[in-house]
Amino acid sequence: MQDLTDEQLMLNYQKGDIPAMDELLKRYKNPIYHFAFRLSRDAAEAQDLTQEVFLRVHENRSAYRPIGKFSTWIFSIAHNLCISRLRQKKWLCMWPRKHDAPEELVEFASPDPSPQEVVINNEFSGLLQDCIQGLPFLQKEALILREYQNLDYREIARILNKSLGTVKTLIHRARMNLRDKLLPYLEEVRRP
Amino acid sequence: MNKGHVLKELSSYLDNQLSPKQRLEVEEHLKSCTSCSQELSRLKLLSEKLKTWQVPSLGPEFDSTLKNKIVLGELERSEVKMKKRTLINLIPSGVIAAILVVAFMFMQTYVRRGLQGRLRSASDNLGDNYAMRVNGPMKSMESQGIGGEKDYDVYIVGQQLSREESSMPMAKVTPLPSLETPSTEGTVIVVQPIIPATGEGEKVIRTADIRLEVDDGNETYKKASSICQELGGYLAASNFYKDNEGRQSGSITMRIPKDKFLTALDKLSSLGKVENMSSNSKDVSQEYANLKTQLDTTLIVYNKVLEAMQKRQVTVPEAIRLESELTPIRQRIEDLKNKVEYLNNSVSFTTVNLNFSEPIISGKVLKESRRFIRESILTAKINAVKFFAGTIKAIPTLIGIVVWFVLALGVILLVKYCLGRIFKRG
Repeated sequence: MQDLTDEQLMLNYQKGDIPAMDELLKRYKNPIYHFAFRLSRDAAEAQDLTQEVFLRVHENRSAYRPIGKFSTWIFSIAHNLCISRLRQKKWLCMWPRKHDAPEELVEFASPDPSPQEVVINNEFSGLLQDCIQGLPFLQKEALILREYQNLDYREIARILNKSLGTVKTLIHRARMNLRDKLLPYLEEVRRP
Repeated sequence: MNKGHVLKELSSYLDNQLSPKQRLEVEEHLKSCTSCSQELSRLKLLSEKLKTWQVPSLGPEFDSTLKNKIVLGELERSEVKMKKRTLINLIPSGVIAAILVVAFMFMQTYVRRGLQGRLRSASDNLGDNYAMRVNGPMKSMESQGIGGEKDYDVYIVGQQLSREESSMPMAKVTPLPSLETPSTEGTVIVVQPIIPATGEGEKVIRTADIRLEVDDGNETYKKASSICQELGGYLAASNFYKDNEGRQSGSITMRIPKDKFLTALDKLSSLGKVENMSSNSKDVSQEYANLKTQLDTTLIVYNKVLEAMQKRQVTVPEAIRLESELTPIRQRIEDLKNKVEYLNNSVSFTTVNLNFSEPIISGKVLKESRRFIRESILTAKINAVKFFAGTIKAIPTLIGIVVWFVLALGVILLVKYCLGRIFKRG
């Protein structure tokens, strides 16, 4: 069962092989959950969405055709559900207010490992999450799929239903936006 | 490739998404451009930092919750499918039933109007001497020539009519064979339709309430019990009591097979004077069909899960988990089976509630009182005769006394006269 590809497993599940679903669940529950959590930053919401994704997989199992990767198909479902929830609940897509001036943090940065540095690193992590959260939704989604799910641009394009060029631009702009916000801190951290 | 182009492609270069030719061009440019190299370093650093974002893991109950949701979803979907199918089957039946009901009501109205008109004219002819009261035992009769054959409840009049007076043209009395054959002279007063018989396939729960005024409560109780047994039913509950004045009353709830329902009503009505009688029907065909559908669907799901379990080898913890997931489905199946069984039982046996009581002056008390009065009158008569006889006996004595009194008075008067004469001479 573990040697089978995702696509073969899905085809088996389509034929009524229930253990195939267990294997798919084992492989994909965490990636989908992480994807949803990074988009929403809400554990309960992310868990709910993950369950919804697998329910859709179950309900639409007969509609699955192995023309592309299974990961593309399942992330497409997750993307569509995210868009739908975004419309319903209006997940926040704003730039952070609390960390609007990260330059101030640079003053506390130090090359020596110290309690202050730990605090700053933690603070940086929060700042980074806020900055990602503040990206436009598609930029954020494309960046998360690239950075955390390690999907190539073609797959991301299929998931988001956009052209390859658009995906390139989305990821590039997302990085530029983050770089602009975190530039002083990145410079300081780079310093030996 | 100039600096502007390279800066745009840096992100793709970092992600290794460029063609080999583009990649070479970017690398060539990076060797000679410090600012672009620095930009690439920043992006690499940013990418590394992004990967430090840790996410909490999923709860352990995730898998089981998801599987429960899948099973429940399957159940709901099959229910909806079956409901739709049932609805499709029921719509034509409903239309036919509606047409039949409308036709029945129309016929009913026509028959009633005809009968009421004839009854009114007949009662006018009979005059005021015959009061119309609804207090007799229930009989059955057939109407003839009024839209086919129908059964009617008929109550007997308080006064008997002569054959000539009762020969009204609208109805002919045909008593049930099980009842004591009454005089067919003058019986028609109130006509009510009996509940139409139901078909075999229908699921109808029937109940009836009868209130009787009886002469002997104890006797009625025994007779009602024997009727119930005779018809193949059973007593569900019974109550019997006697009040301070010695009146006996009671109530019996009996379950009678559905095909003996009307017979039971007839027989029980003959036990006394019917004060009140009502019957009620509840159609549970839809509910029964729904329950059966749910049960069948749940059984299918349950069997499929079992089949799937049997097909593959499962570990002990997995088997325990699957067992715990199957338990609610099994409970649901049992629950549905019980409901179906209950409905079957309710439908196959009708419920008849019989309440009976002796009247405020019961026949027994009346009989006793009459006997007492008769005896008192007899005693009084005897006493009067005795007194008269005693009086007659005293007459000779009185006469004797009067004679002796007269004789004594005569002697006294004679003595007085003689003495007067003697004194005058002297």
